[in-house]
Amino acid sequence: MSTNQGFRLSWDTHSSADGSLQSVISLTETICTPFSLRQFELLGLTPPVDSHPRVLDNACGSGRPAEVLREEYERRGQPIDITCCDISPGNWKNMKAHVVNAEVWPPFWDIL
Amino acid sequence: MSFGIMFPSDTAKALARMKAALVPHAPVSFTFWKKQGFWEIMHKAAICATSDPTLPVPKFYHPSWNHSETLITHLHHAGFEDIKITEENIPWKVDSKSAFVKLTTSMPQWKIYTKDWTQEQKDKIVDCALEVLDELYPDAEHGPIEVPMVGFIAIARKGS
Repeated sequence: MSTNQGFRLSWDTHSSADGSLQSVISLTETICTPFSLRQFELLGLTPPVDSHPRVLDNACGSGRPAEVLREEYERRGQPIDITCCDISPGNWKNMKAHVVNAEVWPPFWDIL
Repeated sequence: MSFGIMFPSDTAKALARMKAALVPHAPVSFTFWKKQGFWEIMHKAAICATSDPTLPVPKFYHPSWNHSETLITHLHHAGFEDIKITEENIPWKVDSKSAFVKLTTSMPQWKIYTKDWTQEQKDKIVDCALEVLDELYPDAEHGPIEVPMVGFIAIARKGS
């Protein structure tokens, strides 16, 4: 997977009055994403893989590291399912999003 | 995977919920910080701006989370297995000193840290931060700098 930051976002499509959103996204991309790429390697998620990974990113922040992973699988035509969670819905518009109560018990697969 | 295990007030409960969402033997991973170099720089800048040498370092979670043993202990108690932790040193590459100051001072955490500052102190922070950066990176001038960032990445597995 490329680490050359060829995936940089276009900041002018995401705006907030005081610039804090752009700052958070930029910091996520330049600080957190390189660590996430290493995390993907250690987890064996870096393509090519011969399975269909199901990934739960339960503190996804801006969602950018998960998006890097999704893009890489899409580029290679390989399947991956990623569910992103965080405590704030953020400002993203191009995704299917739900606000849910995470205090689920018993485990999901027992009630589905 | 999680990049926020240091934030929940009840770590055991958070890990129990994570474990409940996983199938048996599923891998889990956690990333958390050993060292965030930008806070050390901004702490020095904050002391300069406030003239208060007793000003605490910016902290937004318990300092025990700067040690890998903290997560290892929690994962053992939560019943995760095959725990492996690696230390990763991946510097934050910033285009320039002024870009560094612009980014760090617009962070939500910075706004929390400085919420009780006077306007005069807030006005001084840019010059103070640049002064600190000039000391740390005397040869960088207007070029890029690399700020130390050291993290832990933990990999484990849900037991059967």
